[in-house]
Amino acid sequence: MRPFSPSDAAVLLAVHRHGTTVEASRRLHLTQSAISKIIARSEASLGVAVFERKDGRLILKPQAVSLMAALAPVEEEWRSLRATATRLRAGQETPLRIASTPSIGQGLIARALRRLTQDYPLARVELIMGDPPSELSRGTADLGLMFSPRVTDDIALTPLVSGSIIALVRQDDPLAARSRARLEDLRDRRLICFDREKSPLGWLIAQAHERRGLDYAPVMTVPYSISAAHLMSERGDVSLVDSLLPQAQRFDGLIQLAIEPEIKITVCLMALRSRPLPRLASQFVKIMQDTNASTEQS
Amino acid sequence: MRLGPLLTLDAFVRLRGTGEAAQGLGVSQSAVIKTLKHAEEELDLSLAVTIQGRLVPTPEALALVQRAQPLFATLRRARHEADMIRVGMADRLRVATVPGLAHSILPPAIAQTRRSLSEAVAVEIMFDHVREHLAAGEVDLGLSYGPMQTPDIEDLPLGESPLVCVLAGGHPLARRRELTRADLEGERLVSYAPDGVSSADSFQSALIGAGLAGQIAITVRHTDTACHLVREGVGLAVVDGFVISSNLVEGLLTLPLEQSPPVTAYAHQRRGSALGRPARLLLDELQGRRMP
Repeated sequence: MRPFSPSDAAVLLAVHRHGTTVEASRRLHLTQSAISKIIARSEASLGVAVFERKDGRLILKPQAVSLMAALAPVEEEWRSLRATATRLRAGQETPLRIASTPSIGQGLIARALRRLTQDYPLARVELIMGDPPSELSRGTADLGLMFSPRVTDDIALTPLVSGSIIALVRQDDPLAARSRARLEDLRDRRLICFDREKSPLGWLIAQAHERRGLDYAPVMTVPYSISAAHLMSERGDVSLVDSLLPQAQRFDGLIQLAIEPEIKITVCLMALRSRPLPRLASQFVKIMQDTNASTEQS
Repeated sequence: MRLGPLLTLDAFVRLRGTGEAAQGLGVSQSAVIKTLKHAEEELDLSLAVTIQGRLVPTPEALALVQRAQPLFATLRRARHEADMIRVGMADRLRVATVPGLAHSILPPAIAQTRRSLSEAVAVEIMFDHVREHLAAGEVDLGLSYGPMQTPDIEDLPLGESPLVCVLAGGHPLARRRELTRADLEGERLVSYAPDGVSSADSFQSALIGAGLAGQIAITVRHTDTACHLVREGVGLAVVDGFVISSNLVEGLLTLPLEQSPPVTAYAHQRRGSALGRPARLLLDELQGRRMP
């Protein structure tokens, strides 16, 4: 037998409220015979008689008062559940949570979000500036984006965009007249850069220094490229940052130089292998991959 | 959206797999998969994806099932009410209680209430989730160890009792008249665990006050379980003194715990809703009963 359903409950409640199948059918936009059939089916499913006929009206049986009271919230709960499904489709219920570094967040992610919000104008998004692998493992992010990450096996990596490490110098720096610099040119400068242990980019830059027989000894270590750029206050300060940063943000008074030999970096998309992605996150991945494919083609 | 596919999705999420859901629902696994596919099309939502060779629910499926729980609970409650009508218990006295009080102060009070009503009243007793049962209008009265402190529920203190120790006759401490905390050092103690939902619980507060909260080796929900463990020689039970009035401790010794903080039993009712005569009589009985 078909289980007693919320729509059956709505019919019983309407008949109880209005007293006749005629009025209930009018309110629910059903035929009178459909209402009668649903009452009969509901009573059979519940195994009890709910109404008795008196003077042409259907009256609630005294012993069914508690049953009708129990059914009272059904309509509102059913409506609320349907609204939940609508909100899930619109991306309002399960927000897209992305952990990234600021330069990726302001560049790549911002562009992809512009496209995402065209299709999902009500989407809820949480941008988390933190360590993406940790945020993924903690379950506080669905996706992570960062440069050349070192991750554990439970995280799936998708390379998305290539870039390189560049140097930022002040406009009044003698190097500012050039478009390129070697790491040797930066020796004896006040280097503001990443920690080699804490940052994958710091590790890559340190490796590049060691290959050239140079010490990697920043005077100030920072977690993000953007912090390095903001901290360049003195003449002679140099920061090594990712090439996406100047694409995402303008820094007045700072000049960017390509580094020779090139230190390549890759922005990778990260997701936990064992956890399904929410709707918005899947869509976001698709947008990122489409954007990447079209960039590569052009 | 229809109820049938929603119930299939609920089984899939709850039982963590399509094979398990099929077993739970008594249908084939392919029927479960087909139903989920139809539901996905109908709702325009992805509900299951394959990860490491297994179909698992998406976050949207989890959210939908979570939000469907109040509806499922309402339908369960309606079916329960229908069952009660069928067995002639449509008009009954309904009480939700924590297990600790269910077998101590409640049975004699119910027995007296039934006698006052010439045994004509049916009674339904539910365990745990006292506040939720009251708020949903599923019970007339609730019993617990603490005030609910919510605007919709009235808290009525019934009486206080110290903690007592229940031990078997052959226990080395059985000759004592009273036990101290020091006497309990090194003993394997059996008692109630916090229920995890009550904001105030005078039993747990008394355990903390007596310095015993960290010493409980075996936690139980029901007093009779604690007493059975004592009978089997597993340990010594620390319970509230309300149990002394019950037959649960028959053949066992109950010794007061010196300087025990009091445990308070509370009755609860929905504020502003008039109690029926059986519930009123039961409340009078509980309030008038002499506490240990």
